Amino acid sequence: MLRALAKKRFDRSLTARSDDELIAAVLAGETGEFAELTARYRDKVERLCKRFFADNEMVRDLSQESFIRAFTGLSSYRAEMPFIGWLRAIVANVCYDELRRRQRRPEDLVADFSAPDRAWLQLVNDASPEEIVDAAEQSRQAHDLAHRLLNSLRPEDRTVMILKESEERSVSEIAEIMGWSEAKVKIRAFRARRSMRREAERILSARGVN
Amino acid sequence: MTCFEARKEFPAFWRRTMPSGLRGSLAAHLRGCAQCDRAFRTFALSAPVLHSEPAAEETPQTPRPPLNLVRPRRFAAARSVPLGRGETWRPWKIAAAASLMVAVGGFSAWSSARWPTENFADSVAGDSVEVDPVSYSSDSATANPFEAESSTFDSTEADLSTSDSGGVSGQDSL
Repeated sequence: MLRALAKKRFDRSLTARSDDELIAAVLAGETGEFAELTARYRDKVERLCKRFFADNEMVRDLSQESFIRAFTGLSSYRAEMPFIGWLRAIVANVCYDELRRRQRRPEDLVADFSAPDRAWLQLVNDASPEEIVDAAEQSRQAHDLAHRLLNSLRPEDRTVMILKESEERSVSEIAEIMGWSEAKVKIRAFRARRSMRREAERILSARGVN
Repeated sequence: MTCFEARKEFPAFWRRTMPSGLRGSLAAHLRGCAQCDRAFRTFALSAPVLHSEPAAEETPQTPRPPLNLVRPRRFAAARSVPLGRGETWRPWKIAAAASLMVAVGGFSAWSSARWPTENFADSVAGDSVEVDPVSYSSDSATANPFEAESSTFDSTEADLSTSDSGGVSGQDSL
């Protein structure tokens, strides 16, 4: 059994085609080969979508839309850059479009803390940094509250924050991905950090545990 | 470690990707610097999304649906979904639809027999609206419309004939 699995994996590694080969095949009319690209990068695409949205169904939908856009625009792909970089730019733009589409009044974070929210905030305020890092891994509230904090930002600011902090993209890369000027990216990054810090300070000072 | 260096290392501290020695010195710096300690706590509020690996969605026992089965979000509402391959009308659905149609047809037949509807002409004739013919006549001719017409003619002729043979009616002159 194990031997058969190992052989299968070995055979697959021999026959695995590179991204460029798969793309060339798709462009030549073998559209079924795009499924291989989808399977290859699906996890990475979903991971980036999860930085933007907490809802799993939304994440799946946006991943699908990203792959559809990639498929329809595949002829515009140039092999100078890695396929995943090109795909990430598409995902970032799809998520940004969705943020703009559902733009709404920023929710009042301080107004409605549940008991678990308050417990998490109490821990952030009082525990040591090591304890906070340990507790955050298991805390669902930590994740939800972070998403709500990001929801208070404008779509541009949120996109810049995610690309810069999570994806560790440079200012010039973000400018290229989003089609903005570098000055705009810098301004957005500065404003996003400032408003996040203010909002976080406001939450910590009025955390409702007292 | 300076405050600038310490804050720069927050993401690595959160992701546990820094050496233990550096980690210890950062922790020591945070214990001694109130401002950096506060900055770390504000950082910790957004870090679960920005600096952590997103949580796994499902357990391995629940396989994810293939990508082509995920419902398109934007066009789903505007699209009528036809029966796909494998989706068929089941016999109980056909029976239910047929019995519903029979029931509706029977009710309409029974109701039409019980309350026969009049045709349009009957319904109009049934309306007893009394029309006073007088109200259609002009002010000058009250009883007979022909009389009014002739009197108008006469008066015109009278006007015309007045200049020729004063006082003779038009019919007489003709």
